[in-house]
Amino acid sequence: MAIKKISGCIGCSECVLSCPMDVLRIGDNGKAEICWPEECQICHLCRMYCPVDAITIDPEKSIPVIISWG
Amino acid sequence: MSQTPPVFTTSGFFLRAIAVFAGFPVLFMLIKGVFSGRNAYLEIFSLITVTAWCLVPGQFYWFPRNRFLSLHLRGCMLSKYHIVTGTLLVLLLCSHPFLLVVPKLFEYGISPREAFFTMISTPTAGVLSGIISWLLLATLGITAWFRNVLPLKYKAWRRMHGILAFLVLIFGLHHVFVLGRHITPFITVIFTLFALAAAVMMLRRWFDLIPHAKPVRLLPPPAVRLLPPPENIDRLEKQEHRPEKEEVENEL
Ligand code: SF4
Ligand code: SF4
Repeated sequence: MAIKKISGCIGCSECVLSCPMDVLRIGDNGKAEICWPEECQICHLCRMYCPVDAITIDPEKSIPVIISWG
Repeated sequence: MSQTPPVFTTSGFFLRAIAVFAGFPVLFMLIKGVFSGRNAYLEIFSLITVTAWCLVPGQFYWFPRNRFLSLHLRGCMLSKYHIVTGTLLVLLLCSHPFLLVVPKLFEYGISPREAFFTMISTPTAGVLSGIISWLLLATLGITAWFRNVLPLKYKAWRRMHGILAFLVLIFGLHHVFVLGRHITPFITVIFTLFALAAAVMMLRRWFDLIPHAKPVRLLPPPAVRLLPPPENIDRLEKQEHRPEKEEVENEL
């Protein structure tokens, strides 16, 4: 799984809404949880949209994000 | 014969107290390796915020009327340490929610402004306790800096200052326990113990449970004051036996 850890989550759901692969959900404790880890495409969107930088993506499993071609 | 006044203030004592309040928990967090994986800015920012938070219970200890501390430090020095540390803590902890969103300036995704408003508008217990403790902390800082213009007598102000500080500690602890990134069971126990110690110190002061003793004597007795300065300081620092009057006269 590319997401190394989620710590300091405030439960705002931004990551759930931004994830194109529907990997994350808000759990019973009101914090983000990884539900379908195998679906993750390591797109970094959840990390970039998290307002408090709660999501850490494992640098070893990470791939550079291509923002634009021009 | 010129006489140097004896030195009774040891800032080393203050530094040791800082080491207990902040150094110990932060060192434990570093050893446990909880600071890893995020970018350098976030890690350094986290370290500064955690250190500042660890010093909050210390402020209950470094208050100018702490009789135990007045054995080691002069009241005015203690007051100075309390003010300097307090000002730093208020500035650091109040800027914490703003500094948290700064990295969003340098990457795609959510903007710092959006991140800030999303953060403060999320109605969860941890966020609410954070907002309440931020407001209390700001009030604490403002009422302390502008104490002279407040229509309050010193005793009333001191009580208000104590109550505000205690509320900051309670709401802040809730915020830290719910949202803290570096919280481990050990750190939870340490923070709870510090908070309890702070509460006990404040309640003892309020309800006057500390028996009134004679004020601490900061000047040495006249016989010792007559000794040449270096010996005088050595004798006092090492807590050697106090010389009899005859001994002093023989030495002179
Ligand atoms: S990295 Fe992309 S795919 Fe993976 S959880 Fe985050 S948003 Fe979803
Ligand atoms: S975006 Fe961040 S803070 Fe919000 S739910 Fe996801 S991990 Fe938690």
